[in-house]
Amino acid sequence: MFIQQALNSLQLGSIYALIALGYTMVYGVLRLINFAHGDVFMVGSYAALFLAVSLHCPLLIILPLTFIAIGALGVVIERLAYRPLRNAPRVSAVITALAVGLFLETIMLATVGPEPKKFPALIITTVYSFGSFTTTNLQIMIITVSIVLMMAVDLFVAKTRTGMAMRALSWDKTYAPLLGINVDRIVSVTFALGAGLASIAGIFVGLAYPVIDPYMGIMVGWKAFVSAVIGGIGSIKGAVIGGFLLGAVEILSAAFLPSTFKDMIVFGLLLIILLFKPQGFFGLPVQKKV
Amino acid sequence: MTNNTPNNPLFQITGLSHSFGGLKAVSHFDLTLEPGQIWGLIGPNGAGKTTVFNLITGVYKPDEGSIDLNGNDLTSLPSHAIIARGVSRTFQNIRLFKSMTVLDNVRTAGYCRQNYSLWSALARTTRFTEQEERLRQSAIEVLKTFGLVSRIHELAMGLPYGLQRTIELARALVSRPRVLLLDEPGAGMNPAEIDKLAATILWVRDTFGVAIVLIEHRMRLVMNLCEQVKVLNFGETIFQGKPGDLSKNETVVKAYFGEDHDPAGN
Amino acid sequence: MDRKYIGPLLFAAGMASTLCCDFLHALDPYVAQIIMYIGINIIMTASLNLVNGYMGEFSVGHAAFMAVGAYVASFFSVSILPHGPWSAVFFPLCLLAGGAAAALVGFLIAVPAFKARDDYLAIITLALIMITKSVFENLPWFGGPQGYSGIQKYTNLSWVFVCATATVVVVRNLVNSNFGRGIIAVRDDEVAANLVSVNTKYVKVLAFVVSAFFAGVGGGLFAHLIQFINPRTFSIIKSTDFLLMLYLGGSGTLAGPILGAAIWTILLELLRFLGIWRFVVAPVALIILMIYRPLGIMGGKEIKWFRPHPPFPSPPGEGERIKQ
Repeated sequence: MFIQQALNSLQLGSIYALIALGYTMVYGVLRLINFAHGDVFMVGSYAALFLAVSLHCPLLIILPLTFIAIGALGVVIERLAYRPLRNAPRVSAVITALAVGLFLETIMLATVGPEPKKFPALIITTVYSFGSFTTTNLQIMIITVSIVLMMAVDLFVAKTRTGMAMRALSWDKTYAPLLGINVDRIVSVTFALGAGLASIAGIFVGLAYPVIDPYMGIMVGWKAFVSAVIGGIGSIKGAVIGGFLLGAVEILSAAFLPSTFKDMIVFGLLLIILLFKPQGFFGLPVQKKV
Repeated sequence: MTNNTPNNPLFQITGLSHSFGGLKAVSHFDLTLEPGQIWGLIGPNGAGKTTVFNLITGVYKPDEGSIDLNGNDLTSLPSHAIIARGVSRTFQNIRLFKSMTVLDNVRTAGYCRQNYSLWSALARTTRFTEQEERLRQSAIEVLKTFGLVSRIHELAMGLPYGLQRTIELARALVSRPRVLLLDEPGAGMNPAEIDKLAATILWVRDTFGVAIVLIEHRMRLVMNLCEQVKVLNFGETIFQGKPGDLSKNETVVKAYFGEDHDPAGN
Repeated sequence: MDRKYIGPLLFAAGMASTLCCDFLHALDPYVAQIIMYIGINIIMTASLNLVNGYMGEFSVGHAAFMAVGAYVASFFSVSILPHGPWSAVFFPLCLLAGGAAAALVGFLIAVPAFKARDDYLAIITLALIMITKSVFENLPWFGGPQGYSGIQKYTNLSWVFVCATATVVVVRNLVNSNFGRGIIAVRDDEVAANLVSVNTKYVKVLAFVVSAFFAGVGGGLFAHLIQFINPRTFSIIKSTDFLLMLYLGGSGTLAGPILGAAIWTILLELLRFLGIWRFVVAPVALIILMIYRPLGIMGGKEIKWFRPHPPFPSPPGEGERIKQ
């Protein structure tokens, strides 16, 4: 029983973590909370749906194609909507992000309609029973691919030159350009990476909870944002831990409480965590300088 | 108005100590002030001088020690209450309210002197109008004496640096402090401006009857103004006495070794 | 004419017109409804402006206060008050009850919320929306997930006008007072504010509570206009609407919320022929506006008429007393 919940938590947590990574990386590099990120995740889901249903692509093709396509979408959004506001008050950028989100939701609503759509089963589900718990090949795939992706991102940020540049930018926006870092390029890469990861999460959501609708990005997006904050916004490790934590809390509260209480518990717990750890688990404490 | 005598001083700090993590930032700091006294607080960078100011004004709660103003214990009060009780300060890096005019910057410091209720403000009662007008006149008087009346409706942050420092000083005076803490008021000024600043500070002391503690690196200012100085190094007081005796004290000279200034006041 | 009579005269004129429209049916019902929506949006946006604009915070929880106000006001008018031809007289009491309940919730959330970091107010207020939705879904007296129906249409142009005017006047008087200076000081430099004697804790809670109160009143008016509410009505999307209106018009000014609410509401009505595509055109227009005018339409400046007495003449010379 416990293992069952753990597996379900890992699955849901992986999805939150993948999306949270996008929030945290963009925040790290730009100090911007990209409220359109949840909707990018949703568009990723629909993009994969299109590839699967209209072009009959197999899953192995869908994964990288969607990643690239939605990564490109992320770059375009940044270029058109956020870059002009790079030096504007932060609030203007946040409002723009909200507007971009609304735009994406409506585009999808207008083109595909509000009715939830069923995501096709792209892999033949095999169920494995182990006595007290069952799992499917799908669940295992989601968890393992997600973890591999998270490790890849971590390696990328820690070991590559671009990753180093991302970290440099997150520590000091003013002087990083003076060290020869092409800020525009790094920001684009960050957005591409974040959007790509979110689209993979979108595919997994489509496969695992096989109904998608244009408004799902809002709830999932905000929850992933919360994960990033619990983990400490700006910290990659934090986004991952936060995502899994939120997944666990949600699965466990759904298991033991009526479903109408679920959101209340999740967000109530969040408030409690923030009360004791205001900067999240891995966030940097804010130093007051007088 | 309390009559302060040496046995009943205006302002007394005893045994103030504070650490950040493992680092002892301030160690057993003592200070006694009579009205009208001007003390200097000097020392190398990082010696803990601004930390002392932060401890006095409640930015940090001291690990040990007590701070007393006219018999009121300030040690555990929140910052705004400390300021309301009569200790004001200026900042090393100017901290004016960036979206406010000169007049509003100064008026905001009168927060503790207003005591009308929210309802009075919303209904614009006589109490409100009278108190607001009184504060407005008071602020304008202070600004007038600093020669800033013609600029009261300008955005404070748009003014030249020297004027911004003056505005901050004016702002610190509106809450009718008994003790004024000035954190490097002479930073960024040339010698002519320093002399003018010294005259201004003396004038403030004489007009408003405050006791002043001055953090400064510009020895010219310290020599001209301070009756007594305390020297801090690594949080500890290594000298207390007249400014003229500074250069004779070996510990002080060693602490400043490497700084290229002449302690004789140039 | 002395400037100080303009306000009351305009108010009287406004009251006269709204009363005419309400009781003589002088206005097309569709147009009247749009105007009422504009009024309610003005109340919501102007109250949000206090926390997000003047205090510089980022609260996304305004829909939660609207929800509390809507539910409590409706509960009073449907379940508590006696029914009869004169029950409309009790409507303002219901609105006040809604506002007070919302203010209480605002108080309960403000105290812990302001201990947290800046960016986190967004999350805390988001949590508030979720929790509020959950609460109203689970409490039996409020209709549960199916929602609350049977609400009488007590909202009319006059009530909306009175409440909107009250909101704007209260915000204006609050901002131009000791507390208002404190609120703006908190936005500009909270640490320095504390160090010039502003009781920032008090001021922050005050702004939040006043903001929540009017959001509750707006919620009550809203409920008694559309006559049916359910927990999903007051979602994060609704909060987003008010945020968009506020920053469109220009936060931190008195005219901004009024402009933003009016323009956004009217724009979406005018674009109704586009169907769902109006929610594409409108955000794009907003993004373009943000790029070229990041501070919104008002651009951070205030219309002179909204500044209280005395008006600001050209600066006098040295030594002159400032005249009223």
